[in-house]
Amino acid sequence: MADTAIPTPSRRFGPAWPVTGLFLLAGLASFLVLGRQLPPELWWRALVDPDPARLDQLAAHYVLFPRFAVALLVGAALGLAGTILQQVLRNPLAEPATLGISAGAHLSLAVATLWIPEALALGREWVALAGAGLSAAALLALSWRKGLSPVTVVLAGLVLSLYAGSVSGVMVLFNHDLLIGLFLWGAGFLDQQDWGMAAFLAPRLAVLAVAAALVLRPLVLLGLGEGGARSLGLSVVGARLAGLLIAVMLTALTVAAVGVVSFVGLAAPTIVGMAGARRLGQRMLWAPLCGAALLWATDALVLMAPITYRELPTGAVTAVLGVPMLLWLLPRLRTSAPPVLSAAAQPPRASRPALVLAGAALLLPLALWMAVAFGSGPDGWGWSSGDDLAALGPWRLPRALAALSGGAMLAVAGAMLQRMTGNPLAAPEILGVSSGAILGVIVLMFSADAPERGAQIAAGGAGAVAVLAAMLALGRKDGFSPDRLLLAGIATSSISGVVVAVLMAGQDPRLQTLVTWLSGSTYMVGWTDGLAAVLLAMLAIGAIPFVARWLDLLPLGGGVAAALGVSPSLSRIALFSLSALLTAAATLIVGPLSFVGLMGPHLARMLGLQRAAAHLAGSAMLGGLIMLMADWLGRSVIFPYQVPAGLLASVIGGPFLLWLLGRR
Amino acid sequence: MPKMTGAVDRRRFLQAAAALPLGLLAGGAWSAEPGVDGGVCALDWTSAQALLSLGIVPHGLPEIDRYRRSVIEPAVPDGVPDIGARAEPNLELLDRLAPARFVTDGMLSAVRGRLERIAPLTLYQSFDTGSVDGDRGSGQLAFAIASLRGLADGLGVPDAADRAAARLDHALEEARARLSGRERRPLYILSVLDGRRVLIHGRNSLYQDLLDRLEIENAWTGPSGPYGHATVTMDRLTGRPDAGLVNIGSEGKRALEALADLPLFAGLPFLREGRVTILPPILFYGGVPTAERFVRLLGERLPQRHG
Repeated sequence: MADTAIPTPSRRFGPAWPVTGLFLLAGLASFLVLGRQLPPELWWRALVDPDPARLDQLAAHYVLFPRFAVALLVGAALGLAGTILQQVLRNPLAEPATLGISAGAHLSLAVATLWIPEALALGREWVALAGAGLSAAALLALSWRKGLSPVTVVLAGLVLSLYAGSVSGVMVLFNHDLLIGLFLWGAGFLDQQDWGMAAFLAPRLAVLAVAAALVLRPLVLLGLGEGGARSLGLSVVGARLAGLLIAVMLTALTVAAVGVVSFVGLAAPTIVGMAGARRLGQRMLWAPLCGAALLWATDALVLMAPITYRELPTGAVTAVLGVPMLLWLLPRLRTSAPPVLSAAAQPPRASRPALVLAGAALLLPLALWMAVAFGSGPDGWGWSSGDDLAALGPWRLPRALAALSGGAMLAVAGAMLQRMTGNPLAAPEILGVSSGAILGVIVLMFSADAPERGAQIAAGGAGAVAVLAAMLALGRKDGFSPDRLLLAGIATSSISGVVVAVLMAGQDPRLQTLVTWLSGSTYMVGWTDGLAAVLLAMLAIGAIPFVARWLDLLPLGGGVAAALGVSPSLSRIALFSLSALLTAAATLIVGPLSFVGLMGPHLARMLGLQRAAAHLAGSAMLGGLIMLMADWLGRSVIFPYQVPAGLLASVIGGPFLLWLLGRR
Repeated sequence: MPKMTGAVDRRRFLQAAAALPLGLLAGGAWSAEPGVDGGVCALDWTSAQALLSLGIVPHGLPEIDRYRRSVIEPAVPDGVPDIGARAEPNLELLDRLAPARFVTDGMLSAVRGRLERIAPLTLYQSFDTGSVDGDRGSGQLAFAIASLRGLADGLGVPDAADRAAARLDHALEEARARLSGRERRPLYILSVLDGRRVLIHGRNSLYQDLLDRLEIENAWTGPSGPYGHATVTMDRLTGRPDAGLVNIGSEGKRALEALADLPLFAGLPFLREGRVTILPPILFYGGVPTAERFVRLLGERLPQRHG
């Protein structure tokens, strides 16, 4: 996720063309939608002064017209926010959703719904704004030490939104009925019932637009790069902060109003940029127009879709439309050399890494024994032995083994990805293969009557392999640039997120087991898959000596690696495929969610394991231990209920992880 | 497609029915005395409802507190063990409870093998997800009754199913009597989800059959999904100005009042004229016990509100 920039388009059409085209499309679709409801001669009447006795006129006045207005306003706000963020972060892939603002707002609404419903009486908007503001503050705190460096901000945002998502996950798991409305809200529905939302948005967006115009000049100077801007007397941090603040407030408003609408903030500035709007002033004028037209057109097309038993959230549709656009953009991005981790940030190297590893290895059997023998049951907490242990063992041991092995696999995958990309936040969760596995299982669930565990694993595995193949095909062109692979993974992940959101909105009772699996539960693991997991984890650890040399050399740069006899693209394919396969296997066994792929490797580094071989082995053991403990805790704390291990690991480990990353 | 539905329904039902005795044979002899001999454990709420309506106190059922809040009837007596979450009943605890039999709706198919190591499984599906929207009469009631009979036969208490069915008939008669002499308005049967959107029950829901029995028209004739309901925005409910509205779930009251204040919905006749009935929570897919609860509550509360 290094500095990237859109190449200058060879021929410029001018930004007016695509924007006008989109507006024409939106207008046409809207006319058709309106025409189904009212004859054209009544449209004006319905807009300004509907006949209160006529339901069709009332519906046009209070449902359709405000919906168009909200689509325009939200689209414009996202377009503007995206433009500012891309300028501030100097990263053409930055967009409001990647900062974690929407996830933070979603979380605050869930918290308020459950524990402080009085706050909702003040207005959902304010609750959501508070959450959005808090997550933005956390984002700034995390990346402040790095001088708000673009890469850190984007990755911190990603981790934050994964984290907020997992906390919401726990709450939904245990309060599904109360929070179902929140799922609907989070999916990005634009429908309206009066002009209230449009009236809420319009003045606030106008104020923020004026503010954006005021910071135009400093933002332009930021585009010169830090050195250039500073030499012109600009406070780089101050300018970035002002820009971020405006973008965050724009995003928070739209999220509070309609939920998560992704990719409009990315697409609008990109489209006008490709069409020839080069200067920031131009882009800040055209991108909001383009965003408005884009969202209006998408929403009007959604309105034209045939009516079925479930409604299609517009936010989900934009996300789906955005994926091919993102994938199309990726090969056109220039990536710079991978960022080298600064030496000062590294913890001291252990003098005897072997001793550290041996210590961790000793802990493993102890922990495993405790996870099986100690726990809570109907009679409270206690150790079991003898016949008791023999009775409990078949239920506890496979899960403990699966958690241990799954954690180890994820941590090895994470350590490989982080070393390969030089990126401390490259988590296996964002690879996209988990997403493929999820989609595979969902397809099976909705096509087969009562799928058993074996069929689920096969379907999930097929999905993961399909995504892996697609990503390898995609990455072939540019020598498997790690940044692009990660970005393509993020794009793929968003697809499964959308599918799950749409299904949730459809109220299907079959989703309950899916939700638990998605939150990282080892519940379904039996002997077969438990032992298979152990075998795979052993293979992963066995592979460490073979890949360690690559991982030591690749961060030195492709040239150095090649000179020392390592082919950069071949080794990258191998490493990437290996981490993808490990992630897929772990996903199938312990679910797609956990930060263990980040926590394991970072803890191992903190213990001073720096060389690739020691780092990977240490990550495996620590990752395994974390998941084992999480699974044990999850099985015991609220017996007979269970908290999924992945969820527990993220919720408890997340704050620690954020602290760790912020410190570096 | 619609032409095929009869055959598909029958086939699916036979599959479900055929699974019942198979599971039972594996379990060996079964006492005719309900609730003894190790007991029957319900792995989900619809199974728990079915057992309780057959007069069998389940030896374990999931999420008892929430059952008491959201399903309510038939009431769970004190002392029944809570086996954990519906999505993940605690296997370790189930093993220790050692029931003689599980009753499940089939959602836990992924752990079926391991459940069978503890006790044989009986499949009880109270809702026919294969019924296709668009039929006249959903067939759900017949499916639910047949399904309950199958369960009762398998458990050796065939008379209990007859009694449960008779209770439902009685509730239907009573409700018909209460509603007689009144104008039968079409009804929207729904639950408010989030202030803008409702879950509305369509032609392949259990409620469709019950409304048919009460000679009340279902005002929602739009699409509905495999579980008999659709998620729609309130403004779609403009088709039947003469209709009344029945909201299932007490928490919908406030949302409906807020909606009634909006100018758009002030125009909806059932809100304007107060033709809104609020029923306490009812499990949508629960078969015979659900039907009995719905019919009784509707008979009690509808006459208070609707002209």
